[in-house]
Amino acid sequence: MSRDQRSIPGAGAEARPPQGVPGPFSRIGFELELLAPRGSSRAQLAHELSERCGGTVRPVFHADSEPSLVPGMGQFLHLTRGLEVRRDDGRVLCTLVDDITIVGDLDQRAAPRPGWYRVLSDDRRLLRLVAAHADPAAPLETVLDPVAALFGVQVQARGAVRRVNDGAGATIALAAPQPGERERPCEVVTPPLERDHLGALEELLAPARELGFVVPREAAVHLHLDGAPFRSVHAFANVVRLFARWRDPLRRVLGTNPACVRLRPLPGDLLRLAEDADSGGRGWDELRRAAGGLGLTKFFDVNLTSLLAEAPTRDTLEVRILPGMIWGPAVAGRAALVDGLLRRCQDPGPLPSPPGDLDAACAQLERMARAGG
Amino acid sequence: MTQDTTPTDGTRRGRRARARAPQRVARMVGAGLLALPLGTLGSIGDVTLASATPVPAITAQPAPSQPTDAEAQAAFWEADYTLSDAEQLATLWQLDSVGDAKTRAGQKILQGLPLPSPADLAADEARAFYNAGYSYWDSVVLAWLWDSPSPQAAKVAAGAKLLDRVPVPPSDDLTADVYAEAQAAFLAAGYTPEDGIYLAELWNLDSPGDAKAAVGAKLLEGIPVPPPDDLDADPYLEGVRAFLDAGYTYADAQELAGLWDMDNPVDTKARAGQKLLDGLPLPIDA
Repeated sequence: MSRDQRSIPGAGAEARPPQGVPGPFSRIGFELELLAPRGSSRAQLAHELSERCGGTVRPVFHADSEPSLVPGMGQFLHLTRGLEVRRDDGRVLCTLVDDITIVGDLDQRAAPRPGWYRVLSDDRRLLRLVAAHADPAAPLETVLDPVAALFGVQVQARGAVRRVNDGAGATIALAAPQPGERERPCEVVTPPLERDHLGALEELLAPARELGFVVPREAAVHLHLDGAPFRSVHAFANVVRLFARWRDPLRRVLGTNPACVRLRPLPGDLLRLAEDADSGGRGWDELRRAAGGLGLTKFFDVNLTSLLAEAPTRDTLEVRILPGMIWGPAVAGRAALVDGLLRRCQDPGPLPSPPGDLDAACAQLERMARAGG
Repeated sequence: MTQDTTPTDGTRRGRRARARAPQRVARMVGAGLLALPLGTLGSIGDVTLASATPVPAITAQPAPSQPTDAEAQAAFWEADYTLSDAEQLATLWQLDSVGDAKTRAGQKILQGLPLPSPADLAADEARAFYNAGYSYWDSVVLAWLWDSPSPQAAKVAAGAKLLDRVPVPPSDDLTADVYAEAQAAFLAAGYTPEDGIYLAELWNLDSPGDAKAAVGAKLLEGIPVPPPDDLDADPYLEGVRAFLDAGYTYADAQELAGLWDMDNPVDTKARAGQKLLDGLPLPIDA
């Protein structure tokens, strides 16, 4: 083993299942929030990963929203630079994007670094139009040119900012340098992983550790599991029971990060609805329609919106309460636990209620996970 | 990278562990803290630790005569212990062989003696581990890194290091990254990565990274350590380096220690290396 490999623990270590902790069985897509060291960026990790697999890096637009300072406007919608890494055979290895919840470790007043910018709009449809026509690899100075051509206008420049107004003077979009070290947050988005989850995760995380990436303060890891098995009354009801009734033991066993702001318990009404449906009151379609009226968004402990949608863009159940991690075995071990519990949820029998004692509930949760997996 | 949970040389860690374990067993047996079914260990660490309650020891009728190894091992399995339990006991009893651990455990069962609970034996180490901010999941990571038999064994090994003020690789929770900071301090003080390799060998640590972090942690706390130049000039270290540079390994040093009737493989490395520097042959090949 070379010195470089040994200088950081785990670097270059052969991936193998952690002792005593089986990996998950199901197909799972992972989202892991990391932070590049000061002076570096997610682009550095993208290039490192592509070099290691002999693949390519391609800039992509990542759409998200940010709080607006303009009175009367709750949020701006924006596109920021993400990097898609592909293997030499063209398969996607991962995509690295910004995550706007990561702020605590950043110097908000830091000057923008060359090449990093965002495109802002106040309308989702316009922003999608911009994303469809602009080149994510283009520099700030020219990124809006195709959009201006679409509207038959010129791009306006004021300092470093570029703006496109339509013929009536209404703003379509503007591009501005991105200050505050926003190039450092690095959400690693994997494609769905079917097997050897640990090996696949370490392929991404070991280089990140070697480059000095760390787990930021507000970090989480999100798991995306195929949604189809949970689109039935009993499975859906069990998932709701798991995340509602077992919330405290589940968060304790997984070590949920208290600094994660976009998490909430499932509404009590949803639990009542699911219990009622499972005891014979309703069928799946009726349950789905009724649950759809409860104002669920993705920002809960578990994101069930795809299960309730008619034609979801990404048909997954998303578990959002895993803490930030940069070590593969910790990610795979927790994912296995969640996977085991969600497999148990697919059994027809209703998930029991947890015992009152938290320690006992945690132990029972673990037993259920093992039995389910 | 392999985890050395059974130091056989004269390192501080090995001596300390050997000296302390029997006392603690005696203390616990005296206090009536008897065995816990070992199979309940190795689950979600702090949860299980928190909920663990001592249960009566597994006892059997005293055997009329000394049982054979096979009989002892059969008793071990019949009492529903697992291979993982045997591995943990081997670690705790500082035995080289898991088979020996099964035999000794089986003998105790047949004699009606309680088996020590690793959870209790390792309580200091586990407490040090959790107090430093690590979690059960970090022990999963460390078990993977060190090739430990179980997360429990890794937790005990990590706790022992922490008690010896040797830094342990960072946890996901420790974003400040004490380990990396200590390594940076090591390099900033003028040591080279090669120094880390030699020091790891010298101190019988798991990796050069651990050695760098150990020196760096001392530097950050203002504890004096040999400056890098002294490290170069130290004839003892020079011998160790010559030994390693010639391609010899820790196992070779152990073999030489046996041949020369020396206690300490590191001293053996230094003596052997000095011979090499003096142009003298060694009795074994690299």
